[in-house]
Amino acid sequence: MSYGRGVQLAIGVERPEERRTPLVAADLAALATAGHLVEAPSSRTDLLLGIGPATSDDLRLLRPGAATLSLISADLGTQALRRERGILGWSLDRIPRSTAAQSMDALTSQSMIIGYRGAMVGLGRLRRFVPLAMTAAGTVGPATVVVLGAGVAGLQAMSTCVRAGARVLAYDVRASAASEIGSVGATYLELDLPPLEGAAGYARTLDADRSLLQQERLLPYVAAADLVITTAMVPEHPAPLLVSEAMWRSMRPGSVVVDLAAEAGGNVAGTRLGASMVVDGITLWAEFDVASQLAESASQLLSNNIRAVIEHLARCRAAGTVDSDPILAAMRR
Amino acid sequence: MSDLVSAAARLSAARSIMIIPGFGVAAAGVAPQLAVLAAILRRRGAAVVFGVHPVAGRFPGHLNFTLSQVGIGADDQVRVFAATDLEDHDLIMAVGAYDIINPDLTMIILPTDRTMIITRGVDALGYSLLTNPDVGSLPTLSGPLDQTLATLIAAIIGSGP
Repeated sequence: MSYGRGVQLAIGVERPEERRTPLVAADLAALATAGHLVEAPSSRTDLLLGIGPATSDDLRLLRPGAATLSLISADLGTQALRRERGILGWSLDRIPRSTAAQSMDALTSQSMIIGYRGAMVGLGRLRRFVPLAMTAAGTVGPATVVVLGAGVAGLQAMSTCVRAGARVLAYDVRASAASEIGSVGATYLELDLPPLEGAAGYARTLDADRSLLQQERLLPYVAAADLVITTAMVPEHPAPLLVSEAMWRSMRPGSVVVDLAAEAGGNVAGTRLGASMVVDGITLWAEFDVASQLAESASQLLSNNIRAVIEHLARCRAAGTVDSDPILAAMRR
Repeated sequence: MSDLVSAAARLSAARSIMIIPGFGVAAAGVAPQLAVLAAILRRRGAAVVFGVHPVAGRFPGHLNFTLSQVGIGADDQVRVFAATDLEDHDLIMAVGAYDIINPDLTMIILPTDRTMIITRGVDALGYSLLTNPDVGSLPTLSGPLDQTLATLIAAIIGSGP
């Protein structure tokens, strides 16, 4: 890659459902001030920015040695074309969870948006009051919410439901989850299963027996919940099945299930992936592009992450450390 | 003068105080005590703000949430990021924070001359598992956060109206 003074940036074509933008006006201006200019994709482009993987059409416009930077890892369909044209790819979803990389951590910023949106959608679809109110006409609330998965999206969903006045119960396979769940005013569900810890603060997959035992012990909590929000994702793997059809069918009519892992295959059996539907009075929400539903805030944070990566890349370029930098190495695919 | 009496005297004397809460405040559930402490200090004429570092807590916005739940609203919360964010305060009090105030991690570098650290333990490491050389060497109150804050509040109330 040759950068000269600044990085020549271009913004790729996205799917129509993608309503986020990789660079908002404020960050475009800040980058321009620093000498990094955005033009249409061409043979002058150093770095093609996107949210989804770069399209074949866009890749063909780039010269050998150019690179792409996207939120989501490249789809396998363009790997051959990338190799053939010598185009390097960096994925924001592979940024390590380290102090140095925190400002670039788009997975965290977008997970926060997704957790908030999931809680707001779920609470909004309920047919009942959420907070406790003891009134002369009777007592309503609090609604009971069960959140499965206590990563960034899960903790954000829990805190949003706590703010709304719900009684929130939560579970995660990681041993560290109990204090984190307690720290947002939710109650940790002790299922008496042996704890599991994945690499670098992420969860990992469970064996089949443990998974069935977990479902069995979660069943009474799911059955009693007004709203269940699932957020469990394992990097590079399909989302684990946490809620079987029998589990959500045990809920009362009017209850809501929000599956925030739908794009990774879903945590809930029997949903329609990419859509919401009502089955026997129970709402099953498994929509895609959840962060895009809050495109303004999602874009603001994502754009800051992308700007931080571009500035980091420019610093590495100036220092001659593009090939040895640990953050860039983790993002390379 | 004990560390605690000295800490109460410094808080009572300060005119502009920034309280920097960390994950420990959320985990130990002591945000209500911070709200009470801030109210007492304000009643005595001090300016009190809460400084929130962008990566404090376990998810973005964690400490903003924790503070808002006890009535510490958006107007009383400021983002702490650069050293200049600490300049306007004559006392910086970090509570339940370990990593974000670790000078080796260069997130918040506490001034040596106007800092007070309240921690559950000098060796109670944070998420990074790195030792913070400032904890215990700068003025530090160590022990269960709820007990320390309760005693501190009692000492301040006992010291005058």
